[in-house]
Amino acid sequence: MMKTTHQPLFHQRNDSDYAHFGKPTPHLIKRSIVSAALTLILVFICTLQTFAQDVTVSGKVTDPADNSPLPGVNITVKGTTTGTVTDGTGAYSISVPGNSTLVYSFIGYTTQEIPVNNRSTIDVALAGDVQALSEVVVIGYGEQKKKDVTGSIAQVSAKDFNAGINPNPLQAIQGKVAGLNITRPSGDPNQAPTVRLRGYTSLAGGSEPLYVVDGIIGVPINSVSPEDIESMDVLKDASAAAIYGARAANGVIIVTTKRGREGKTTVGFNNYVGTEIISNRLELLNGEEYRQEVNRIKGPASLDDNLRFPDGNFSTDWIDEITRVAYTNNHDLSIMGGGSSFSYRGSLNYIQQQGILKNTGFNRLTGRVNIDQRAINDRLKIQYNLSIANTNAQLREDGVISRAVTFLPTLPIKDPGGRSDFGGYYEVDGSFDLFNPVAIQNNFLNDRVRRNLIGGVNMSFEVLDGLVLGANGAFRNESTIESQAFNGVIKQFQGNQGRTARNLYQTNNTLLDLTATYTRNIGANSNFNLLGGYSYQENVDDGFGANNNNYIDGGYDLFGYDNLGRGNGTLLFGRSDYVSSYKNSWKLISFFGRATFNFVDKYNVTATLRRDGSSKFGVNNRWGIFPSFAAGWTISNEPFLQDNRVLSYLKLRAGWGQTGNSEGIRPYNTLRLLGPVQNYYDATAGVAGDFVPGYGYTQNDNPDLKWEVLEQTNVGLDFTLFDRITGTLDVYNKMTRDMLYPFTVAATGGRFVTNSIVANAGTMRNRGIELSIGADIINKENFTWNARVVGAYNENTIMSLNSGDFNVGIIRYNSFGGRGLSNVFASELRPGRSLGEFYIPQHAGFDQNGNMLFVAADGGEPTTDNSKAKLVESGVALPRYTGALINTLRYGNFDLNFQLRGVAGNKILNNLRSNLSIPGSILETNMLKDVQDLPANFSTNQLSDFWLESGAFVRLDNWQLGYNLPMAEGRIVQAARIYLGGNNLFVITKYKGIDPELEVRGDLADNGRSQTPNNIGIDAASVYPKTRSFQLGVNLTF
Amino acid sequence: MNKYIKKGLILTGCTIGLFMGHACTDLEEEVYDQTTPDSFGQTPGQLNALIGPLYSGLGDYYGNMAEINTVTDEQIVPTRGGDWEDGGRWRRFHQHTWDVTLDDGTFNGIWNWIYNNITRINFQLADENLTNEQTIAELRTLRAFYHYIATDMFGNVIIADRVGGDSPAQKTRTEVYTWVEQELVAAIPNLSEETGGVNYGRMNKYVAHMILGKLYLNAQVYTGTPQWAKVIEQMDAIINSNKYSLPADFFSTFAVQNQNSPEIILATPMDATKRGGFNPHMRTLHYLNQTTYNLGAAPWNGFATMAEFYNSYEDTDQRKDGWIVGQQFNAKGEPLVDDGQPLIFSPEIPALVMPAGPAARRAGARFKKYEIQVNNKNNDQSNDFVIFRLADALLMRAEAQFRLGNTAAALTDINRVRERAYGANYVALTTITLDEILAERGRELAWEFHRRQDLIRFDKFTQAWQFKPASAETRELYPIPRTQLDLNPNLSQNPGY
Repeated sequence: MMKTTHQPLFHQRNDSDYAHFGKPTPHLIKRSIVSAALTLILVFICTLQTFAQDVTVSGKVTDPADNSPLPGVNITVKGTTTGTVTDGTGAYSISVPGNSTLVYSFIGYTTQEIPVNNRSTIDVALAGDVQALSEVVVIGYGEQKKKDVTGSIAQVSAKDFNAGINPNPLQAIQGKVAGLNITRPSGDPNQAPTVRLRGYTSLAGGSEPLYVVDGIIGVPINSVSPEDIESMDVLKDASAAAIYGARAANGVIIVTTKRGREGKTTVGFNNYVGTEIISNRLELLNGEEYRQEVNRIKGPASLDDNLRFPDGNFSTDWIDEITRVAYTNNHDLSIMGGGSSFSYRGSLNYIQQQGILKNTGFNRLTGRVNIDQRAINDRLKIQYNLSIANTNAQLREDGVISRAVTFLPTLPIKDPGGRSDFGGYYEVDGSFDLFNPVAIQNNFLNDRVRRNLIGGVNMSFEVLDGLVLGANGAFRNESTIESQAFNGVIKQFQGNQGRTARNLYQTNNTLLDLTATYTRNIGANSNFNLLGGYSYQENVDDGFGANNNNYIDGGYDLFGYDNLGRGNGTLLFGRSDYVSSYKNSWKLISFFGRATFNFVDKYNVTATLRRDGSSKFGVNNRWGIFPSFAAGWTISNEPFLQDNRVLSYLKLRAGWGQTGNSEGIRPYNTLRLLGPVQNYYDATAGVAGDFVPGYGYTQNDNPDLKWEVLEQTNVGLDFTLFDRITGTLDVYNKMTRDMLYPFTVAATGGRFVTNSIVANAGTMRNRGIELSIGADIINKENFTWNARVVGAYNENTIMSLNSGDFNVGIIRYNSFGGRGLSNVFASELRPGRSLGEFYIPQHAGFDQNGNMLFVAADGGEPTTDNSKAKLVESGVALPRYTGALINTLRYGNFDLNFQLRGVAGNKILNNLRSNLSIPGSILETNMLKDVQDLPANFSTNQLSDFWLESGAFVRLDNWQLGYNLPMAEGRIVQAARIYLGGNNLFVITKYKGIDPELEVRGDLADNGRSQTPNNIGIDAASVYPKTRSFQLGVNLTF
Repeated sequence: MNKYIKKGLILTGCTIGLFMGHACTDLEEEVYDQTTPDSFGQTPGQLNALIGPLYSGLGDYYGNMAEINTVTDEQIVPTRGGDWEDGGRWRRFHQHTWDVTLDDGTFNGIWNWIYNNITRINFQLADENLTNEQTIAELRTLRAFYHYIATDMFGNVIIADRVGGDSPAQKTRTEVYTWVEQELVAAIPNLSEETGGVNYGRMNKYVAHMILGKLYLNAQVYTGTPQWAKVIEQMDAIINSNKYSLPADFFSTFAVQNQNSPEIILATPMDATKRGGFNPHMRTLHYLNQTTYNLGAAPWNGFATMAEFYNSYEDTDQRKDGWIVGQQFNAKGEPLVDDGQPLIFSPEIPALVMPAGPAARRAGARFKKYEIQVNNKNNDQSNDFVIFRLADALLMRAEAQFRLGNTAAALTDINRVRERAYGANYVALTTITLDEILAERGRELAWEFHRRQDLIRFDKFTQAWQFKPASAETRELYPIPRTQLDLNPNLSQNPGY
C-alpha cells in the first residue's frame, strides 16, 4: 500500500472536504413562523368571502368521453372574482345571483359559459380534444402544441409526479421518462441524485442535463420545491435541444412553475410527515459470532488479546449505534388568484428531512412569487419571477459509516476503565483500521448553508399582429458557507490535529435574452413561426476560506468552528494554505434562430441554427455553430389512414442535430498558467531561512481548445392504438466528437510543463431505443386503472481515444481498494469497448494455502500470480436496460398509484463485500457473516470476478394511497385529500451488497482535474444506508 | 438563408448591445486568481520566486527514488498477508521482473518528474529577463543533473536543451554522457563557491564537481571507457577545498534539524508542514509504533532491509544503529504486543510472500538512520534529505584510486570514513578488495539511493540474492515508459523489453 503526498495546485473548493456535525438548527423558530402565517391567511380568506343571498347552484362536471368526474375544474361567476372549484368527485356548489353566468374552465378542455337562469342544479359536460394532443409542451423559447412537435420531448406534469418523500424535483420524475435515468444512490438526504439522459456522452463533461426554470438557464434544480412545479419538459434529442446549443449535449429539462390565473383566489395547503428506516443492512458478525470465527480461523489463543476482547463480553451493533429512525415533515402553502390583467401566485415551502445517520439531515425553506401582468390590450405581457431558497444542511462524515462497518463487535463504546485519552471512547491503540465510529459521530461538525436568490423578468410585446418582441433578464446569486470542525482528541482526527475551517463560495450569474418571434396562420390549418434571438450570460465565481488547527484541549467543545483564531496552528506550524481565495468567470454569447412550419395538420418541419461563443475556449475556436433539422408526418391524418380502427393516431418524426458541451471544463484551460507550486526553501526569508510559496508553470496552453460536439439522430413514432393505448417509440444514435479530456502528453523537456493537456480528441457513441406505452386498462364510472410502461435500451461505446497529437495513454480506473490493493484497477479506457467495462481476471478457486487462483493467460494451470492471469471482459457497469411500470388506480373516492422500476444488463464489483470477507484479516476488522463459508487461510484479497455480481433489480419505487373527502358545499375548504405513501417499499435483486443502485458521477476524479474517471459500478466502502420511507399527508384547497 | 439571418440577428443583437458597450460579442477571458507568463516574472523579486521553485521540484527526489530502490539488495518490501500485495509490484521490483505495462505508472512517473522539471528550467533559461550569470549556471547544472539521473536509469534518453520540439530524437547513452559533461564543465566557472547559507540546497561549484564525479565514476557503464583519473580530479576539488568535514556523530547528518551538518554537499530541504514528501518512518515502521513515537496515524509497516545486508554490519559499527531490531516499546516504556506475541523486529525474513499474522508483520530490520520525529502528527518529517555528502566523495575517490592501482591512497580515504563509523572501536584496514569497497559503500550509504548504480558498476546487480534469482543483463536499464513510447514516435524501447 502506498501513499503519495500531493499538494493541491489550486486552492478551490474540494468536494472531499465535506465534514458533518450536529449543530441545532432553528427549525422550531421557522415552524412557528409558518403556522403563524397560516393562521393569518385563514383569517384573511374568511373575511374575503362575500355572501350572496341568491340561488345556490350545485352539480357535477364530467368528461363526456368516459363520464369520469373532473375534479379541480375552475368555476367563476363571470365578471367577478367569486368562484369555486370542483371536488374529488367533480361536484361543486356555489351561491350566485340568479341572473349571473358561470364560467367553467380546465386545462385541456374547452371553456364553457353557462347562464344560471335561476336553476339550482347545473351538470356540465366539458368537451375537449383528445387530451394528449391539445396539450402544449414547452420547447426552448416558446411552446408548441404536442401534435406539431418534431423532436423527442417528454412532458411530466405535476399530477404525474412521484409519490413519497421527494424534496428534489428530479426524484419527483424518476422513472417517468424513457431514457432519463435518475439514481438516488443512498439514503443521504444531502446527496443529489445523479442524472443521465440517453447514456454517458463524455468522459470529462459529466452528464447533467441543462436545467431551465422559467426561462432562466442554469438554475440548480434542488433549489426548486416540487410543489411549485407545473410541468417538466425533457428535451431529449438534438433537434429539440439545439436551441440551447452549447450546453445542451446532455439534454435539457425545462421546468415551468405554477402561475396565477384569472379567477377566484385559492389557497392550497399541503402537509405531510414521514418516517424513514434502513431498508437493507450488511449482515455483519455480532459479538458471539465474531469470537467463534476468530477461534476457528486464528485459534483460541487470539481471544486472549485484551485490546480486542476486553472484559465484559460486549456485543455492540455499531450500525445500530450510529443510525436512528428519521423523520421528515413538509409544509407547503400557496395562494393564487387574479383578475383579467393581473394574476399572481405566491408559495412558501418548508421541508425538514432528518438523515438516518445521526447528526445528518437538512431543512429547506423556499419562497416563490410569480406575477403576470397584461397591458395595452393584452399586447404587453410581463412576468415577474422571484424565488429564494435557503438550505441548512448537516453533512455526513465518511468515516462514520466506513468505521462502523469495520469496528469490532466485541468492543464497548466508552472505555470501561475510564481512560481519558481519546475523549473517553474505547479505541484499539496502534491499529490501522479500527476507529470508534460513535466517537467520530459525536465529535465533528460539518455544516453547509446554501442560499439561492433568483429574480427574473420576462417581457413580451406584440408590436404588430403576429410579431412579438421579447426580453428576458434574470439574476441569480448563490452563496454557500461550509463550516467544519473536528475534535483533535479523537483517534480518527489526530492526524488533522483538530482542524476547523470555514469557506464561503459565491456565484453570481446574469442572463439577458432578446428575442423576436413572428407567427402567422396560413389558411385553416397551416401556420409558420420564426424566431430569432440573442443571449448573453455571464457567471462569476468567487470565494474565500480560512482554516486553523491545534486548539487547546476542549477547544472543540467550546467553539466548534466559531472562533478560528484561537487555534495554535497558524503560530506554531507555518503552512501556506491557512487562507485562500479565488475568483474566475466565464461568458457565453449566442445568436439563434428557429423556423417552424406546420402544413395542413399533417406535415411539420423545424429548423434551428445557433451560434455560440464561450470564453472558455481557445482563441482560435471561440465560436461554434449548432444546426438541427427535424420533420414530422402525421400519418393518421392522411386519407388512407383516416378512420382507421386500429391506428387512431400515428405520427412519424425524424430529426438530426448538433449540440455542444462546454460544461465539462473549467475556465482558463486554454492558457499557460503560472500557479502556486510546492513551497521552496529560501535562505534569506524569515529569521534563518524558511519555506515560502513558490510559483511555477502549472498548466499547458491549448489555444485550439474548442467545443465538444454531440451529433444526434433521432427517429420517433407516436401512436394511439384502438383509441385507448398511447405510446411513443424513439430510436437514437448519438456521437460525441472532439471529446474534451485531459490527454497525456509526452514529457520531452521542451514543450509541456505537466503531464496532461485539456484537448479535443476521441469519440464516443451511444445508441438505443426508448419506448413509452400506456393505456386505460379499466375505465368505468367508479373504477379506473391506467398503466404505463416506460423502457429504454442504451449501449455505450468509446469509439476512439486519440487524434494524432494526443493520446489518452493507458488510463486505468475503477480502483479496487483495500489493504494491499493500491494500484489495482478493474477497468481500462479502451477504444471499441464501453465506458465502465470490467476487464478483470477470472476466479478459479482457492489453492490449499488459501490463495486465490486465476485462469491463466496462456491456457495452462490456474495460477495464483495475477500478472499471469487472463484478463476477460466481464460485463459493463452501466445498465443496458432500464424500465418502469407506472400504475394509477381509482375506486370511488380512493386513489392508488405506484411505480415499479428496474434495470438489467449491468454488473457491480462488490469491493465492500470483498474487504469484509477476508478470513485472514479477521483480527483487523469485523467481517460479514459470509466469512464463515470461506477457507480459513484465505488472507490476501485480489481482484477477480469472484466479487463481480449482477446489478439487476426491480424496486417498488414509490406508492401512494389517497382518499378524497367529500366536502359539503359552502365550507371554507373546497377540497381535501388525505394520503398514505412511501418510497422503496421493496427491492428484488440478487445483489448481495446493501443496494444495487450506486452513485455514478460520470465525470473525472478530483473535480475534473484527474485523467481518471470516477468510479463506475464499484460498491466502495462508505455507502450511506439506503432507506425505506413512509409518509402521511393532507392536501387542502380553500 | 443562414447568412442573412445570422447577419440580421447580429445586427439586432448588437444594436441593443451597443447600449451595453462592446460587451455584445466580447469573449475575452478575465483572469483573476491565476497568472500568465506575460504578467509575472519581470521584477527581480518575481524572478527569484520563479527560480526557487525549480529547486522544489528536486525535493521530489526522495519520493521518486524511495520505491524503486526495492530493486536493490538493501531494501525489500515483502507481502505480509494481504498487506503490500499491490498487484505484485514489490515482488516484481525485488525479482527484477518488472513489467512494461503493469509498472508503467512507476516508470512514467519518474520520467515525467525528470522531464517536466527540465521543461520548466528550459522555459526559465529562455526568459530574456534572466541575465545573472550565476543563476544561469545554476539552472544549467540542475538541468544536467536531471539528465544524469535520466541516463542512469533509462540509458538512451532525450537531450532537452531548449524550448520547443514535440518529438525530439532519442540519443545514446554516450551522447547524453558527453552533453552532460559539457554542460557541467561550462557551468562550473560561474557557480558560487559558497556552501551553506544562501546556497543551501542549491547548485554550487562542489555540487557540480560531485555530479561530474558520479558521471566519470560510472563512465565505463555509460560509455564503455573508464575515467578513473577524472574521478580523482573532481573529488580532489571537493575534498581538498576543506569546506566539508565529517562530524563525529554519524547520525547528526540525518537528524530532524540536519541543515547545519558540515558533511552535506547537496540536500533537498523538507518540512513536515510546509514542504512535505519525506516520510520514511511511515513506510518502515509497524502499526503499533504509532504509540512509540506518538504519531498522528499508524505507519504502514512495509519497508525493511534484507537479513544479509543487516548482518554485514559489525556490532561495533555506529552505523548499525541506523536499523531497528528487537523489542518495541510504547512511549511509556511498556513492551508492545501484536496479536498476543511480543513485537520484536528480527532481521530474518522467512519469505517474500508471508501469510497473515504477527510473524509476518514483525519480520525485517527497520530503518531509522533518518531520525524519527516524535510527537509529529503529520505524515511527513522535517529532516532534509541528503543526496550528496562528503563520505560518498571520499569513498568515490578511494574506489577510483584502487582501480588505478593506488591501494595506499585508497586505504587512506576508506579508513577516514571507517574511523568516523567505528569511533572508539576503530581498527584501520591494511588491505582492501573490490568487494569490500562495495560492502563499505553499502553500509555507509544505506538507503541513500546510490546502491543500484554501485551494484551495476561492480557487476553484481544481476546476481542472485535471497528470494531473487539471477536476472538478465538487460535489466540494468529500466524500460522507456510505454506512455512515452506511444506519444513520441522517435523513441524506441530499450533492449530486452
